[in-house]
Amino acid sequence: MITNISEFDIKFRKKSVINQKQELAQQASRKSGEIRKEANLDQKSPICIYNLCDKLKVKVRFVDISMEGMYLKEEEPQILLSALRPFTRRNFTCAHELGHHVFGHSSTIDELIKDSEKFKPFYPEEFLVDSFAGFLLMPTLGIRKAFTSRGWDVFSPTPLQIFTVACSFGVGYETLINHMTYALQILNTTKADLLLKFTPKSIREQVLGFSSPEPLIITDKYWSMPTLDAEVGSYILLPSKAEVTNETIIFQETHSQGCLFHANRPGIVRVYCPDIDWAVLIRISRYQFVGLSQYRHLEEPEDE
Amino acid sequence: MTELKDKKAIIASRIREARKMAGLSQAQVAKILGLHRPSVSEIEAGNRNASAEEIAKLAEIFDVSVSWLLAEGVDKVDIHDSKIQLAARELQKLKPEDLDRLLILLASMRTGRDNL
Repeated sequence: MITNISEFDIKFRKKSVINQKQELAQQASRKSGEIRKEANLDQKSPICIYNLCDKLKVKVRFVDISMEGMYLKEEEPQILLSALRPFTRRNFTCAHELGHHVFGHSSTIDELIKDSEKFKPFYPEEFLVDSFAGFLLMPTLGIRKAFTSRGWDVFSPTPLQIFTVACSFGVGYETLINHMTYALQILNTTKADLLLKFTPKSIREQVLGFSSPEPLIITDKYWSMPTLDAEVGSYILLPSKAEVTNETIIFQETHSQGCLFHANRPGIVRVYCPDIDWAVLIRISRYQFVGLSQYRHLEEPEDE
Repeated sequence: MTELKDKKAIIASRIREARKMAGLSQAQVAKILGLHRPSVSEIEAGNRNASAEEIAKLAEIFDVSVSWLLAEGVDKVDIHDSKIQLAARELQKLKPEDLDRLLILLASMRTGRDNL
């Protein structure tokens, strides 16, 4: 129906899809750089998307509605994210919805994307904000630096290396591979297909030594964000000799790559590794937290 | 008299609903407001009237409008309400029960227009 086609859509249908995609990706990349600059963020470090939304005065609320997310164009703009989606997926969807905001799009609901619907029709606005989310969360310089600083070959990474870097940028394993392949063009499709034969579940099993449905976050001394966000139930692999200040996360076992902890309760805990002079604030939210983003790490007060 | 009682019950239930939508426990709300937890519980049960100052503070921490909290607005917005800046085709993407929850949330939200 003609009424469903925006002027934006009509304009871009005249060009070939490939040209459109290139143009939109460049636009998205530029805009992500501008937004980082506006928020006084550098062009390479991983970011907390919720802190960025806060800086840009866009409220974020987690809801138990079955969808991906929603952008509400109001005088006080809001992003609604489904708490029912995987943790890293929420980060990406938040960046996607922020894209709708910074590009001045109207209010929109992003439906649940099932694996069977990956090859959906090309919608320029959606491609634009998806690209924006990718560049914002996984900037070109930052991704290259994440591999090279660890002494890893960015052109030929192993599944575990991809998994580790994805953890440090707060995105999913498959999301990082697709971004490195199609947006950054660092990986060729053959390499990407090989990497995609591994799943986060199989990598978790390889690292933990047991099968677990719970997410795993791998950190190392190259983790550059001052914070690490997770939810109750997640496993967190910290550098060896990690010392924690409370029981928000509980030590599980010594591991060949460090110390394994389990997220125990909502709250914030400081982690310090004296041997490598490395520290991070770990912020744990309730499992599938529903509510305003600023309350997601509030700990339960002790009984009076 | 009954009408007043009904309204009191609606306000109490909206305070509870708004708290849950904000992701806070009664104990967390009590701590933020500097109250004892039983006071919040009593307010939500309709056994204790919240003062005007407390209502304003609750609306602020829950990020809802005072008018919605005081049951002066509708429980949920109509699908055709201009407050929803979403096209009908967008709303059709949601399941009926999810749409219902969204319409309640939209009715409760503080906006630049209806913020008191």
